[in-house]
Amino acid sequence: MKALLNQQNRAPLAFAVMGLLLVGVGMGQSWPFALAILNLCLISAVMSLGVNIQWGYAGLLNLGVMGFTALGGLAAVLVSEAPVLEAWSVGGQGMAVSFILVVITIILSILVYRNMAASWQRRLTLTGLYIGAYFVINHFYGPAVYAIESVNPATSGFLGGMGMPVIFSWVLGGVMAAGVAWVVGKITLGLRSDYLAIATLGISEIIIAILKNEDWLARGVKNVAGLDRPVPFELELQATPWFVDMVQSLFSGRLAELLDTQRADALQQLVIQSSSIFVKLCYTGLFSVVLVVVLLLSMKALNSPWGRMMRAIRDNEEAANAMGKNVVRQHLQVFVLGSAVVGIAGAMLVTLDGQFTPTAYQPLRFTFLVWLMVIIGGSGNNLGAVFGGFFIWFMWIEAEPLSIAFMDLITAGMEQTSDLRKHLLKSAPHLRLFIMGLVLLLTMRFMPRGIIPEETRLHSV
Amino acid sequence: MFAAAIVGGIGSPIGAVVGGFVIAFSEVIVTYAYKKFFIYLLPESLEPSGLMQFLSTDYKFAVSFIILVVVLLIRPTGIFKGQSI
Repeated sequence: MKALLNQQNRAPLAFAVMGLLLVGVGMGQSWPFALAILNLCLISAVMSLGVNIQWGYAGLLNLGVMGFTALGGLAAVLVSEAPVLEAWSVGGQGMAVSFILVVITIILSILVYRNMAASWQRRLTLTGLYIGAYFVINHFYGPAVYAIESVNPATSGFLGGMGMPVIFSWVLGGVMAAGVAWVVGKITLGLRSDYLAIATLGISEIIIAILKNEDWLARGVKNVAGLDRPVPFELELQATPWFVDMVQSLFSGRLAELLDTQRADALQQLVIQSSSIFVKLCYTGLFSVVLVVVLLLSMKALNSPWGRMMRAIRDNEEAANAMGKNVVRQHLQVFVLGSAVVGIAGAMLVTLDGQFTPTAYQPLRFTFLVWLMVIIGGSGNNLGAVFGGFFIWFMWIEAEPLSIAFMDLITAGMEQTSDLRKHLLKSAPHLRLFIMGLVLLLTMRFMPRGIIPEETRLHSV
Repeated sequence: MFAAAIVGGIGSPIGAVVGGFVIAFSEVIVTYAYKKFFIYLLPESLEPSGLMQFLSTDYKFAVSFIILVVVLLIRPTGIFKGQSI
């Protein structure tokens, strides 16, 4: 047993078990359901690779994962939605002016900061500048926002996007998350780890608050639904001749057994079922490509001199600093890289959902669950992070059927009308968090370094 | 609440009180609707049309987080020198 669970065997074994679990869901529940889980597993794996870059390589405690995911989602809206020309014509000018004014304010404050000695005069000038800028910018910004949000508020009421295929948003999502991560990192990376955690947690909440309230940007809590899709719609697929032919040839054996009168109906059913599976498989293919690319790049990076330097910084900051490594700069770099990967995953998630709902971004789901994936999978090991993404997402979804089955089992002997039975059955969905906690505790107790732990590179001298 | 403790300085009771006041007052000052205020202060002809808020009330908690981050950057131990954790 010990030999079976050694370092080399663990990763293939873990992934084999994962594959069996997914196949089991496919056989026991349904194939579209198993594929839906698999798709989200792939996205979660990309997300936890991003967090693994930050935590596993460099030891940065980033609790703002949710914010970067949401930025990726925003990118999906900004890329794929058609531009709302009417909104641009009534409010575009005011928006442009206020944007330019914001840039001018930032440049001015940098100039003041650089050219004046640290004194109360400098503080006073900066404060005055900011207060003045606030009123001037609001003079243009307020009316522009009002005008944009009054254009068909029920269906649009925002500036719209660029009207490009949604797949480009995966790139833009990464770039946007990286840009924001650069700013956030510049501000917060001077802080020590626990303060960094608080600061990033707060900043991610601020990002979500902005997305919820700035309706001109992505409709806020009114949500953007019906986003463009990189794959065909099921209904269109069911009407395409080549798809129907393909289903017919795939299931020719089963169809031949039926009577002529039943054949058309059976074919119709099969086409409907297969179209849903086909669309999900298309997504699986797209997400797998992204996951494999990100995984290969991260593995290469981890084994390169750069990765060694990162681990050195993580393990002993002072020593690495003494060896001439610029710790703050490298931290900023790895923070930006990790956030970019999280942003890509965020864009993929919104693409899969087909809608952008800012209220859906909850820290439990998007920060702590992703952290759980990294910790349980094995921080510092890319395969571990991928496995964590698969396993935790699988548990998160399957916890509900499992707990309902468990409650059914323990209440089987009780009377149908007993209050205790009703209460237990009603509280079954809440067992999800309990199960997640149990998984975390058991893993931490028996495999403190994760299921697929980081390889220790001990070289005897 | 957490923000208040850190802003004031962890481990310093006076700091916690002051931190609480700073956070609470700045939240209200920034998101308060000053319309009524100006109605009493100014002659009727100048009555403001909007609510006269600096920021929408939805950003209330964002204010406390921004103060938290700023304090962490400038004085990592809080306004009253508390322990550094």
